[in-house]
Amino acid sequence: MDDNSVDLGLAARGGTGPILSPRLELQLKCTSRDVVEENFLRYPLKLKNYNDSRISTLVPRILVVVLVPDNLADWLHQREEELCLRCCGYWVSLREMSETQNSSTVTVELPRLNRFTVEALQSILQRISFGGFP
Amino acid sequence: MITVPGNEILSTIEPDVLEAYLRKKGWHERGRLYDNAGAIWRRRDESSNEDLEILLPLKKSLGDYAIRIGDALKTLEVVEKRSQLDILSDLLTNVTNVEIQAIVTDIQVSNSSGTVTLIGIVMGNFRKINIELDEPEYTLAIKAYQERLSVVCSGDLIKEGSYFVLKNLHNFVLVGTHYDLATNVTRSTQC
Repeated sequence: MDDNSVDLGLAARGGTGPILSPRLELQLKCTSRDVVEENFLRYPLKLKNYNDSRISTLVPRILVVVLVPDNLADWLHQREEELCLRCCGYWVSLREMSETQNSSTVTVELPRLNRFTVEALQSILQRISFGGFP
Repeated sequence: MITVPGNEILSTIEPDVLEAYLRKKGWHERGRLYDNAGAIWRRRDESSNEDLEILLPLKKSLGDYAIRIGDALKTLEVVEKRSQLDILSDLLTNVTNVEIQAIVTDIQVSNSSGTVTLIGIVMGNFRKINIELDEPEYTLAIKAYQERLSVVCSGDLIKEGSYFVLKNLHNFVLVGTHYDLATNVTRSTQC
């Protein structure tokens, strides 16, 4: 088993651009809310994960950080009408980020505008389908 | 049993070798990606009438080169209904630093050196492998041939035509029997 920091690979059908099945690879991290600032999340990413995510690849890679409540009891609420899952993901592409002198972690900024929603994922895959980047 | 090739082997496959293979199998290039870092290849699947797609990496410096070659093999495995190792053996032009267990099937008689033919398993199938041997390996090969012993040898495997040649040999021993050249004594190994 090869650990290249990719936790999930997505291949979508029905790409409308030159790539029929646009692919995206995700590195997934989960953390509680204490990394949130006004406009960014600042996430300390392990050096190996940082380097694996910024290298030049044919299938684009993004980092997704999912925020969860500090209190375990607040993660999930289930009632008759609804199932409420308390988390919001944010994404960023580390492509072409520079090499670092750090030895253990790199603090990565994820814009709070980059919420990882269904719509966001769809438009990322569309851009990839047209030969672009996330 | 290994059924899926590892990244080390996948990264030895040259892009133009896979390109030639795809062309031969009826695939067509439909476009390039990211400044010629990759290419989109398509083929129509007769049974489903859908277009199949392979993203071919063109630069070996890509961080995911081996993985993308692996993806291509996975697609080909489904389309051609044969194992990835089978397909790989058609693509493979050389494998460095490989260890093979084989039997000696032919020796070209010479004074103290010559070409020895082995049959061993390469990429999941029996293959003919030729090796140029000098002493003392040549004598070992003769012994293996006469006594029907198998050998283990290590080197770089290079495809030439329909068979392989083992070069840069750095190991050649008989299996099951430890033959000490210095003392001319045969001892059986405990397996």
